[in-house]
Amino acid sequence: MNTSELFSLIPLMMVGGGILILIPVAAWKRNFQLAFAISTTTIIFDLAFIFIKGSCIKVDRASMLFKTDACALFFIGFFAFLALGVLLISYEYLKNFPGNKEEFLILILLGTLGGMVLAASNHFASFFLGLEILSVSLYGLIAYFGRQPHLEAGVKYLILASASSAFLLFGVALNYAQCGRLIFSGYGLPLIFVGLFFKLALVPFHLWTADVYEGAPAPVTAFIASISKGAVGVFLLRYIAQGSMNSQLVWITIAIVAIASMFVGNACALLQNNIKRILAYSSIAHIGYMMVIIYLFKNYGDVGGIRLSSIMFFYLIIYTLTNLGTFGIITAYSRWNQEMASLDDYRGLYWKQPVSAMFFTIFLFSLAGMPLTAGFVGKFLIFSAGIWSQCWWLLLILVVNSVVGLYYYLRIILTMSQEAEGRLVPLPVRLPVPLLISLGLMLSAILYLGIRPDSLLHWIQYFSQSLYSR
Amino acid sequence: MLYLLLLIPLMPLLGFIILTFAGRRLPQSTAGMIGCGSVGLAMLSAFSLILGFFTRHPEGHDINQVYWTWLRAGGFSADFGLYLDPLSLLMVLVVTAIGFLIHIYSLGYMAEDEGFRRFFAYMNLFVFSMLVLVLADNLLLLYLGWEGVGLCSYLLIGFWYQDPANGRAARKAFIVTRVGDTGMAIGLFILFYQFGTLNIQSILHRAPNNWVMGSSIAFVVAVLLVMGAVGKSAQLPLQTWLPDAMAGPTPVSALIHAATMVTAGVYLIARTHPIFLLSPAAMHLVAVIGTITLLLAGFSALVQSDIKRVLAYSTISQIGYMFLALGVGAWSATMFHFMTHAFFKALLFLGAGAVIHALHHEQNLFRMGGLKEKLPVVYFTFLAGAASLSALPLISAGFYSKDQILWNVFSLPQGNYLLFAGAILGAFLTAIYTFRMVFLVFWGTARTEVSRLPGRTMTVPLVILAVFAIAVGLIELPRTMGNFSLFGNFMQSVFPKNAVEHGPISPELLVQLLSSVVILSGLYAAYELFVKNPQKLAALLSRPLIKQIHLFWFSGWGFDWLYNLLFIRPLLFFVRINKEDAVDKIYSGIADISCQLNRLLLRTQTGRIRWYVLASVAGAILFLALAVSL
Repeated sequence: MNTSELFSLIPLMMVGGGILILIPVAAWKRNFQLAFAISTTTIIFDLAFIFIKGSCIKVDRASMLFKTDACALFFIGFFAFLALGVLLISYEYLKNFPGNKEEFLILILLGTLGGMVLAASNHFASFFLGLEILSVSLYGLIAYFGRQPHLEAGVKYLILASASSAFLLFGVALNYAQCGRLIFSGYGLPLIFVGLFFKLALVPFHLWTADVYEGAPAPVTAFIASISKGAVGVFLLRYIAQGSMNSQLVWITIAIVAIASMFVGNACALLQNNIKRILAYSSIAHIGYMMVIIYLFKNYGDVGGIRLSSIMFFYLIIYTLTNLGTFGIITAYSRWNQEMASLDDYRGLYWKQPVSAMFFTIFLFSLAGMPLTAGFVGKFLIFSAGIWSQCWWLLLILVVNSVVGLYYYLRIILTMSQEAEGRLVPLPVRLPVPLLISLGLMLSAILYLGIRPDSLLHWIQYFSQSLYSR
Repeated sequence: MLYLLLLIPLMPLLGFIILTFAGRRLPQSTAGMIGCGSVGLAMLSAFSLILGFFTRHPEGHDINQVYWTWLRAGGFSADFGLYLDPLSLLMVLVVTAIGFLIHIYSLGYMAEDEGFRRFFAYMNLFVFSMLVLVLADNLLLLYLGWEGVGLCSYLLIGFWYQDPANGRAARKAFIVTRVGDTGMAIGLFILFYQFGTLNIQSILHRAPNNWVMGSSIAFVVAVLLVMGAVGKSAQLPLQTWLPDAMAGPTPVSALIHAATMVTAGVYLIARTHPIFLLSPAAMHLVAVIGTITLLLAGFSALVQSDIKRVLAYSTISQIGYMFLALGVGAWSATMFHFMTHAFFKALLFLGAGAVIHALHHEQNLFRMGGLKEKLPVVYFTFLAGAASLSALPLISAGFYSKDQILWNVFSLPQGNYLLFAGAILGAFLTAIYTFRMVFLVFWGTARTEVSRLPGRTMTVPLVILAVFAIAVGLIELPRTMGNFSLFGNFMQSVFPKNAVEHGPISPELLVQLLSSVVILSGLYAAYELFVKNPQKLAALLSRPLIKQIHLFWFSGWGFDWLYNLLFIRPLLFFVRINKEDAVDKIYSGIADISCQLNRLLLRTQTGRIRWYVLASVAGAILFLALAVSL
């Protein structure tokens, strides 16, 4: 490994370095403010490095394990941005926890590192490492506060994720048996799909989602919904772009999974009374929409692939941003010993806290795909890709599902505007500053991308090409 | 320069955003400053554009600036682009300048209102939408502005929403204009379908090549556009909403329902005039609509007792003149009358507002009187506005613009004697009802005590507007007196030349003399009936037939009654019997299926790990089975 290759790995190593500083700090002298400062600074430096020096990274492949092309760099930076958002929303949530708080930050950084590794992996070894770093930190994070619902969700996630990892490893082993190497190829694909679809929560591997979303602490749910899902999504696209996917089976599988996820996700969310569960089911449906884009890859070679990849990336980016925003709002009203997730808790939010209700409404509008939010542009791009591919039956299902999906988002908004009789838990009078910063970042990103999507699409189109440069 | 253009609509938008989100925390003075300042800055940018406009673009006179692309799919692309030519520059100048003065005026007028911040937020949003509407370079953005001003009109008519009547008036305005908007939207769809682009200029350039003169497609599109214009500009048959729209605060009536928004229809037709030129029948339709409307509204204005409703009917009537001018192809004259009308009508509304304000929300003409001494500034400025509205010869701006319309109707080939006679009769009516108002409000004996005097924020805009209402006519003088054509030269790059310039001068002089005589006799008639011999009027009104006509005119020719009978009742009837039709079944079916599916699928959420693992294994087996079988 030469210097320029080493240089190209700095974005990953910086996060690792931050963790290495945090561990002795936590062991030697506990100080939450200090630890928080170190973790946010690490992330900000990482972002700044990618922003300023990213163009100096010229090698596409840092080693056998990692790709550091434009796509990987972008998503490393994007996950750093999301991690910053998660850190900022969890500050107030953690502050009054009587136990050790510093490890929570370490686990967040560790999980982020796992996601970054996934985004850059070019080899099954690095892929599996990244995935496990991500998952293992999540086990810790979900059960971190040790209350009964946390523990239940943590154990569920642990067992089910391990089971899915077993499938995945078996698929990797088959791949090795066939190729003699651990590079991406189409062998063992069904089993690898089982592992990936579990992480993405696609039907029929989705059953954990609602329970874990509900049981996990709100900032951790935000982490799962943004970084964890995003990293696996990026990897899936990279895998599809690289692996040989010419067998008919793949497409049938994807179509079945996409349709089932859309229907199951939307149908289950309809009559829920817990906002976290609603959002869990809505995430199943949204990943289903993304699988529609993946299905459209069927008919196209590299040129169409670049276009479809950029649509998928765009959708993934705005979806994770929006999710972080929505869970940020839930975090604002929750503390480690008290989750405010019931729909009834939000009755009358418009009258008591108009600003955060407005934020929440815009995030939900974006999830529902209302114009002038980024969510609309995402849906629009999927529709345009579907029309372009003349895949009418899948589009019809997508339209029906979008309409059904509108119901439960509007239901939340309606509940917020209803008259409340002292229902709202009298938690914060005004939102804490770090949380507001995070929410403001997400909101402005969503609105800006809703009005000027071309600014981001331009970038994505550029780095999507690197996916296909073999 | 190019970003200055973007700044014009952006400033009021920014004001709106600040006032919406931070309004409640700002002190009233700051909120007012933001509300006025944003429009003031937009006005300054607009004025600074004039200079650059003439110096940098000697030829062509237009700037088209595309800032970004919102959506693109296949051949379709929706841009955010602004287009500035003399027509839109004129609109921008009028909207921002009058808008600014009215904002200043509102500082005083709304000072004691609870909804002060909300008011300025809506007003800023209105100015933004109106500017987008006139500056848009494509149909989508134009439609955004078009609907935006409609929304603001709705919000501001119903500004005092605690009174259900105001809410009803707001809904009426919204729904009636919606009828026109539907037609307009279809027209825009046809334009897009025919030309494959949303860009207005390229559509207008290609229209004469793609469509033959007098073709039915041009007629259909033009009529659909007229539908939208008729709704927005309160012309027959969709004029019924405007008198009721006076339920909003008076500055709103001045800005939205007199000076700017209601002329959006005029702007739309002027903007798309190449399409109308391809369809003489549609143009004739516009002229006929204008003439009938100006007469009907003129008669109704004669008998109203509410000062704002008189002004509302006079607005309908004056826009009728603009439609008439559009219909005969007098494009430049239309825009000239639009400009003078914006000044004097805003002035009249603000003057009326000052009177209403002083008399503690008294709007009935017959309970006013004798205000000449108590409110001298209001009186003299109102007199200037009234002179301009009734087009008093030589000394008012309204004379020059109305005279140009009359002369064009008389001399252009599209005009005819019937239209001309209507326009002359309209001028007579205008003089009567205008001075009826002046005499009833300011002359005679006082019937209500003046409770407060207008402050400086209210009188200064009145004086400025009064100066304009008198003097702005001087930028365009007819051939009979000076032949000075600054305005016409400014507009000539937008509109085709019309043929009146040549030929003998004497007929034009004759038309001017005729209209002067008619207007002065109208003035005298008003004096005779309302000052000198009021008992004569009372005797006239006591006759049963006259009484019936009076009532008929008072109710706006019974249109509300007619529409209620023809449309609203049958519609409500059909709604009642057709509450659950087959179309609904599809949607309620989807909802039912979804709910069933929900119940079914929630059974899978047992919360037990062994069941979850089982589902995963089943999925894996399915995948493997697929892999083996194919």
